[in-house]
Amino acid sequence: MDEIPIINSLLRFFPCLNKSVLALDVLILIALLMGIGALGTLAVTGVRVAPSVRVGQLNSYFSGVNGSIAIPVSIRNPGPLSLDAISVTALVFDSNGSAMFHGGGGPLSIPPGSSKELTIDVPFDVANLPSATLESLLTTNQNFSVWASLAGSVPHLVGLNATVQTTIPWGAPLSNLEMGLAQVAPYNSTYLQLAVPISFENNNNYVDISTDLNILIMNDSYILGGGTMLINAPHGAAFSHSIVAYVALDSLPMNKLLFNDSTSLTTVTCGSLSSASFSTSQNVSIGWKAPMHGLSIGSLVTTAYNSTYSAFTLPFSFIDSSPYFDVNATVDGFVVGSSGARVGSVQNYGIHANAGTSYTGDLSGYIYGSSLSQTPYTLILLFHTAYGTFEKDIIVNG
Amino acid sequence: MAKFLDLDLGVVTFSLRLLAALVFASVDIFLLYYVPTHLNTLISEYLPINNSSNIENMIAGLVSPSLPLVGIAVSLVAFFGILFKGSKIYGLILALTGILFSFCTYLFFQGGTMFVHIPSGLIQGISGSVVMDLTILMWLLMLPSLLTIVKGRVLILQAARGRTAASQSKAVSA
Repeated sequence: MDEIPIINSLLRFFPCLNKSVLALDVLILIALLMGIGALGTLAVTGVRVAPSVRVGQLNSYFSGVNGSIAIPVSIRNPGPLSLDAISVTALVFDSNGSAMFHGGGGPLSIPPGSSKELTIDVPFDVANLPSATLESLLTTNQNFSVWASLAGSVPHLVGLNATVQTTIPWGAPLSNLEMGLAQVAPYNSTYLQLAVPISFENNNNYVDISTDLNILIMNDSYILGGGTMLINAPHGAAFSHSIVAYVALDSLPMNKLLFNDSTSLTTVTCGSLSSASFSTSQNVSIGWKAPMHGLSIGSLVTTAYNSTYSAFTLPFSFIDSSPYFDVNATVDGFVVGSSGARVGSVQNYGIHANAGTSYTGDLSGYIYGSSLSQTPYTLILLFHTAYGTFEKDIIVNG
Repeated sequence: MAKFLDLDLGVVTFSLRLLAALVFASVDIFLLYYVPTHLNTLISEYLPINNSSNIENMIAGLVSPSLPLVGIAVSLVAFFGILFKGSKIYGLILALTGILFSFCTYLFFQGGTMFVHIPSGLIQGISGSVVMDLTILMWLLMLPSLLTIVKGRVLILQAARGRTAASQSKAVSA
């Protein structure tokens, strides 16, 4: 018994305890009453305060995607002990577990018999979010993890720290963002007009979309053109509209567009909500009808011309399937033999085809007589247009 | 006349002590053994059916597995404490009772920091934990037990002094 330090301390502090059993009995009784009294008072405080906690209606304020969510909590303290340092801390994590927003409320002291309101305020400030997180926030429905901590104390008796984890659904303001087939029309002699259908659903419960949406048309990393439109999509609403972009004709890959009906370009949609800018990119097909669609070359027919050259004729045809563009071009070129050496030339030939019509013509030229056996030939045709010169390589048999 | 150690008790006194010891030990066993081990059964009928298992698990986590065993020990020493009150070993039993009660209080308050896990099914979609720092309250409730240990020690010393005085007076008379 002498080895128990706390007992020794008690006896050193109160030497009379060594002698008086009666004094000890009194002290035990007092300590018992104190303990039971403290426990009872604490229990009464807990039992009376708990039902008086009222969680109010969630208030949200959003301007763009910036805003805040506030939860008012009313606490009445009808108990005999005061409540001190009541505070709440809340952290919101994205689906990858990265902390995005943090907020809280308090600290608050509530004396016995009084009521106070604690507002738990979580500001949604997207300005400092990484762009990848912001893009995900805007375009992907997801669940946020919420971690909240409640701290408080009954002075000198109890310290309390409660933590809770939960998830709250986040609806993407630009959910199912899609860009459809861009429709092409001439705007003027130097620009094309692309109408890019864009649609999305604002699945968010709080965020209203009202922003200038910019669209960039790109080929690889080159910006070919763009456009801007003010969009409005209140929360819960769907948006579907075409955004008009303008592209300079000389910036387009005309060597593809001259001969092929459809082509694909990268479309980047950029916007800004509040102070936060965002961008998404998609490949979109352009509803393009080629002015020299289905260019086909017939059989090469040679005739003797002189001792050095043989003349040739070569029928060709195409359809100007563009509803807007006439073909006004000249074509010339070279003939390359199977050895890879240039063995002849194509005479300059003018082509004039109206939009929406078929065209047939005959190319002509000369081949070295000594090279007539170097078949098949490769015709390197150069189409000279107002938008530049475009090469088309075609293999023909002699 | 019943004789226990150095006690000479009348039949009525002995019977009353035995009865009191049995009642006190029974109450101790009920509170410190039966309630902790049957807590789930005792509270299950007051719990909402859909959440009963979660609440039971949560409350079961509050009870230290050692508490029922210590409870039995407390009941035993309390039983003997009443039976042997005034004897030469009463101080020792009292000190033991104080030690076991202190330990019981310590276990009940989980050392002063109580941890309650809130399972995810208790409140839909929410899980968490509550940590309560009850150290001061625990010491306050342990104080009577600690003073009981002191009282036991004093009684042990008094009994030793009594034995020494008795042997000295025998030696003198011899």
